[in-house]
Amino acid sequence: MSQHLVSVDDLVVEFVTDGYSVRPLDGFTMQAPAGRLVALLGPSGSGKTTLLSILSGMIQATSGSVRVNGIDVLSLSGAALEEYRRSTIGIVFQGFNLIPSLSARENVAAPLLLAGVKSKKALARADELLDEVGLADRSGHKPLQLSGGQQQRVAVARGLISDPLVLLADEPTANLDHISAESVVDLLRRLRERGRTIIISTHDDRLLPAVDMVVAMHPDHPLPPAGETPDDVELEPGEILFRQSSPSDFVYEILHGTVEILRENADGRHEIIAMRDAGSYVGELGPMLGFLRSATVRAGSRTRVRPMTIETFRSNHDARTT
Amino acid sequence: MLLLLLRDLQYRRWRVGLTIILMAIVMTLLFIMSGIVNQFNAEAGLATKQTAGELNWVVTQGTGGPFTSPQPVTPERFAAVDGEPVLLAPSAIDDTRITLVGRAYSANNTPDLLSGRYPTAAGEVLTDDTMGLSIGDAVNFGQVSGTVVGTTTDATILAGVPVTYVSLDFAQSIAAGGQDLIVAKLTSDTPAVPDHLKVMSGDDVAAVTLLPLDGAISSITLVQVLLWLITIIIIAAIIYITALERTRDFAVLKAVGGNTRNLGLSLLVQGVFMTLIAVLLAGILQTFIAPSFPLKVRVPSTAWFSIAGGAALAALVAGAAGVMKVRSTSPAEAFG
Repeated sequence: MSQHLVSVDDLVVEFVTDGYSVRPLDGFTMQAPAGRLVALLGPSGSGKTTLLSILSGMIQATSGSVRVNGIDVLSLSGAALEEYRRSTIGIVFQGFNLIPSLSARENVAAPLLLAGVKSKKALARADELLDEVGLADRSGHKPLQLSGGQQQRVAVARGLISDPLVLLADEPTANLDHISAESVVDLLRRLRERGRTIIISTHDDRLLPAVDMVVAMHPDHPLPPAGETPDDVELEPGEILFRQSSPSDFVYEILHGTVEILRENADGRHEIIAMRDAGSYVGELGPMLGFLRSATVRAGSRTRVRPMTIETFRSNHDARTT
Repeated sequence: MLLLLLRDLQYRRWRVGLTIILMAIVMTLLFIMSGIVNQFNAEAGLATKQTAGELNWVVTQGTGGPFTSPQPVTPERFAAVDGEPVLLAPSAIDDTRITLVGRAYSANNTPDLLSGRYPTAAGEVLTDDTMGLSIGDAVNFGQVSGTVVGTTTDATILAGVPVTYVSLDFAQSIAAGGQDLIVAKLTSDTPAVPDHLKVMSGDDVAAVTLLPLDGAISSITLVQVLLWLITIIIIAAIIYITALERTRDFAVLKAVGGNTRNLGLSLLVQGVFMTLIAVLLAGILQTFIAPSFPLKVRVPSTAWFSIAGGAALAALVAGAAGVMKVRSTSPAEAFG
């Protein structure tokens, strides 16, 4: 068995949305030892929630390996998967996701009740956990009668009901004021001291000092340094300038010829979504926003383009508009 | 699982309550319609039995039936048959349309008496209880007067037209201007009859008497079908909407270890439970509403089984659509 409680290797997750493929995780690798509070840090769309969904066995990966406490998560299905979700991991969802019809203690006990544990025993265990998260006096309250911080602590208690080795928490401090957020972080830190691995997703880098390990989810594709400008590029008709989903680097000014902007669909077909002629720019948004290329650009005729850094593009653009 | 189901019902109690009441109202109408159709179907047989018990009817050939198309003839036309002469004729007591039966009442103790005694002399009248008359009340058949001496029940035809019993000679004075005319002879056997006569059993007479109501029965049956359709749509819509509303709950419950089978089963149980409560409520409601109808509403005991069973089946079918929704809900949806 690996020395790491959680081990993810070369994970690829690809799915189709609006007809084209996206890869929120592309060759992702991470390891997390036992008893650590691990933060998955990245902006929206960087694959944090996708990774949590994979770790909890809720979605399938395209390729790669995921092992939790030696269990090959990607090979699980049916009853084995249900058992894994029930006993090996606990989940805290973004926005709490408590069942509104149930009281705090019934929400916490729900996983055990679903597993067929007697109500009395399940509710007694829920009471213990509510006491542990400081909500013993709120056990009979419905979610709507609790503050955001209290609801999040109930959600944490629910995640712990089966005493899992790994607790996954999706944006546990989102929607909380700083006081509630601090109490939740403090709770998570205390929980990991008992040998439990806690993996949280967050886009809030203020949490980083409080965690033991940070996994950057944003792909590291440094932009070319300002001032470094390669030579002009000559393209034959049909030749690709850059591909969809590749890292964004330069903005290109079209000096001569025409380029086609293509969307590559999941079924392998190409769809021309725009054309640009000499005198216009192409590929400016990717490097500006730090996103991967959202489309493929190829030459429609013999074409000459001039690459420039985003800074050069901005200064040119400002000069044109003033 | 039971606790989760109970809590969800409590949480949605207002909607659950309103849904149950809505279903119960429609089901009450189903009970009433069943009772009306049942009454229509039973009425002619009961009236025939009240009038002649198990006796056979010898009537003139070509007659539809003694109740619906009585053909008064002289007794000589029935000379070849031994039996008790009887005259039937459409008539009226004050403004109420009735069917008049004149005969002797000593032979077979029909109709069953609810109160009083059989009429034995001219001027004495035995009425169905739907007339609302009591013993001693005076009644007028046009220019001819009489007095109620007894009452009976279940003696109506054609959706509530009361049958009124008098002696044969009194009936002849009311309906035949005093002439000696009869419509049929009642016999305990099945005699050989000449060509101008025919023998009808009580069941034959009842069947012929029912014919004019065929259109009404078909119409009510169609209304019943429409009510069933409404019931099924209500049940299906509510259960499916509940499943849609609870998509996030199902995703969360699946994410924390719940399986599709148990969650789907809880949805089915919820639907069937609500439906059966509605059936029970409808069964109680109809007992209060039925007496206000102008004709008897005779709800058959089978209606309880057919309505409860049909509604539960509808809930299961509708619930199956909800279960499909549960099945298709990915636990990953809980991550939002």
